[in-house]
Amino acid sequence: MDLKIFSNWKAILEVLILWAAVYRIFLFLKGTKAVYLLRGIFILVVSLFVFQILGLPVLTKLLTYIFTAFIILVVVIFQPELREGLMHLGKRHVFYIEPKREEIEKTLRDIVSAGGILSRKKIGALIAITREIGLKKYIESGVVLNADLSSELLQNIFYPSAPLHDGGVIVVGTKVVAASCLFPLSDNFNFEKTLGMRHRAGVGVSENSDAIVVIVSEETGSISLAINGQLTRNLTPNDLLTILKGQLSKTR
Amino acid sequence: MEFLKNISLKKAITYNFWLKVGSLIIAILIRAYVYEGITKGVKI
Repeated sequence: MDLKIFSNWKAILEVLILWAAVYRIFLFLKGTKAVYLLRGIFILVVSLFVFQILGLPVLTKLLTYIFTAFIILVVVIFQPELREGLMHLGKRHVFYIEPKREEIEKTLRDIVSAGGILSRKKIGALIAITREIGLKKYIESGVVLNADLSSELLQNIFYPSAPLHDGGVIVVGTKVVAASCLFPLSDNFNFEKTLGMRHRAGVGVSENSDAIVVIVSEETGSISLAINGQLTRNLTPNDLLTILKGQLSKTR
Repeated sequence: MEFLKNISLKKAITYNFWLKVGSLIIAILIRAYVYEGITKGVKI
């Protein structure tokens, strides 16, 4: 038996696996600022290979040193993107028991109802609805409630003189798990200057997880939704309910 | 096997074509470079 055949099919298999992995990484980074860095890395890698083939030892060695330092710099600079990538890789829960569909729909209607009332009264609100990625570290920064969600509870929490009105509420399933939670601020430089810290915090937590964040503006009463770092503004309660139902049905 | 009816070979090739080509080139380079490092004992 010619062992070279085995080595050939193994080589092909390795290339195929590497191809799939590299392609998935590129897809993930496409549309982000990291794509420009990838072009730089691609040029470095190709140059390194060409120098080696041409037998240019000094240039090869120099480029190897630069490449090593570059990799360390990439990890430091793109730490948020790497963290997000690893989160996406490991986000499927095995033992999560989902609430019933009717219970989820009631929860969404309660959130929308509270959002509508708070919007009319121009009371600021920040509600993060957890999907597959847990928000444990933000829950720990707030006050744990583990209360059944209702429109009245949300209105009560965000009432201006209420002790828990500052910060955000985290919803898991049909429960208000915590209130007065600290959310990270978005570091998006393109953020509109007219939007305040509440919106920036809502977008920030949506950038760091797959949570859907409902934001009610204290200044204008407008309802916004932040998903994956993208902010959709000036929603009516009906729009909000439609989008929430659509987004949460995708997760299932 | 219903999903097989929805697969378009043309679309599979043309969608993100250059990204796929670039990924393949890099995969081949990585494989060749690491394999050479393993077989010749060259430090990467």
